[in-house]
Amino acid sequence: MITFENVSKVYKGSIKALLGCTANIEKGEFVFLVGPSGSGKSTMLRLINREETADNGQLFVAGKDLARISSRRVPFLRRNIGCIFQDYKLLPNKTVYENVAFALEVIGRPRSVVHAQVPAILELVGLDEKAEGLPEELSGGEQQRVSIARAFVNRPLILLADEPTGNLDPATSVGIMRLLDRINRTGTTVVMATHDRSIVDTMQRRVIELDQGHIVRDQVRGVYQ
Amino acid sequence: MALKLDYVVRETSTNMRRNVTLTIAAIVTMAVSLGLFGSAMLIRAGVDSLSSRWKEGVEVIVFVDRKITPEQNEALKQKLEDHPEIANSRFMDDDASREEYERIFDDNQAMLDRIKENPELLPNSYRITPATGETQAILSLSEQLGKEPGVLRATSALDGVRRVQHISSAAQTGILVVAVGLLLAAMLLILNAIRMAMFARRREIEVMKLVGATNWFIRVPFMMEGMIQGIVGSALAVSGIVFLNRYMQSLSKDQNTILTGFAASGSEVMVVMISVVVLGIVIGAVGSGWALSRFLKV
Repeated sequence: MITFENVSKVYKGSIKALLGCTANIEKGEFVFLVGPSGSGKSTMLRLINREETADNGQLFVAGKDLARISSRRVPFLRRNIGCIFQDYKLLPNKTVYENVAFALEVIGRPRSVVHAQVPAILELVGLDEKAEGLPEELSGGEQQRVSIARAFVNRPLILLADEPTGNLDPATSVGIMRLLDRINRTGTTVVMATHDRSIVDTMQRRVIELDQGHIVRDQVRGVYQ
Repeated sequence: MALKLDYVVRETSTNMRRNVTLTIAAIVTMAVSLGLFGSAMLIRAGVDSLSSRWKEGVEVIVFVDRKITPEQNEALKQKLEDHPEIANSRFMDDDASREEYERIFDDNQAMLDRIKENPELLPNSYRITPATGETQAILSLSEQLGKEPGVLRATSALDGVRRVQHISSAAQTGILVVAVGLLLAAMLLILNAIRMAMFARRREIEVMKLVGATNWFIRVPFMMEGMIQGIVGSALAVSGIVFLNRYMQSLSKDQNTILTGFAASGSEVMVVMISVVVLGIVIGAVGSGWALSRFLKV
């Protein structure tokens, strides 16, 4: 599903973000990216989503060679990839329902599809009763659930999560991880960058550890360290 | 992938409400600049129709100096009769000149009194019908006759037309320069309005890109905004042009002034209006397209 072959990425000002990374992530896997800040975790996610392009090496996502994909096709690549973030990136002037529906509307889904899918996904994340609330009226954990609903409503093949529990307390984080685990079990590949040691240790999933742009560890049922 | 009309309408109107002052500034600048541009075109059309009207039946008037000697007068008369470019010449003596003067200044007592007191101010003249209708030939004939001995001045109505042409071409150039400057300003204002709208919606745009909205989908509401500003601005300009055209029509209807016939035809006015509207839409689209290409990188 995702294949890095000797991928390097150097930002302007010669900051080396990723150096010769090789990894293969299969469909349906759940992978943690761990490592200190600045080790290249976010860069890996941004490369998969093609917010950045690799300087060297080859990167395949959902069967596409990202070096060869035209910028016109990028939006269609992204429809296969859901993204969630530490800061949720919800639209503050839209309700929970509208935030999730927005993701379908802007890729041109007909209204009937929006009406059918949004309530279903809100029920899945446990927010069907807060559909008309605004993001600011929700707790951090609830806001992250909305963002997961938005990322997953289009049933993407891949879900990228950049420190999704970074702003949440441990109990709430467990709830979010249960939700991600549930999404993973539907066959969705999940790649999650995190600093949360207890989550990684409890989940016992594949762990890729990065340090200064290099992959220093790739363990099938790993722990944080 | 269908772009839904209600989505575009909703987003465009939200954007425009969010930046009311900038939207108004862009529209007003657009209206003024397009109005000037259209006026220049309209005045040109008026001048063209004016000159073509004056090309027929033009008379050259040769004013004779009171101090002319009888020999000079005889020579002049002979010359006018023999000149190959002159079809016909007629002498206006003191009585005929006074009669004409009194007819022209019928309603101006001061002018009448002035001549009554000093009849010598009114020169005699020859009225000449040129053999040709060619503007340039008439002008050079008039110039040549003005240099004859004993002649005060030779003039024709074409001199007046030429003066109007001269002034109007200077005015047209001035107006066009100002109009182009203002059009550029209008474009930059539209560009800025779109930038502000995009900045206000940067979070939405970020989310739209993340979930895979195509660039066209993101662009269309902003382009609509630029085009609407162009359309409204050009509509205002067109109403200004309608007023100018009415004014020119009324000038044109006054008989026997230099501006008689100073009016553009209906089809010319139509062409001016259509070009103003098209220009407005193009500038709106270019302004917003420019803003989008610079601020909407994938």
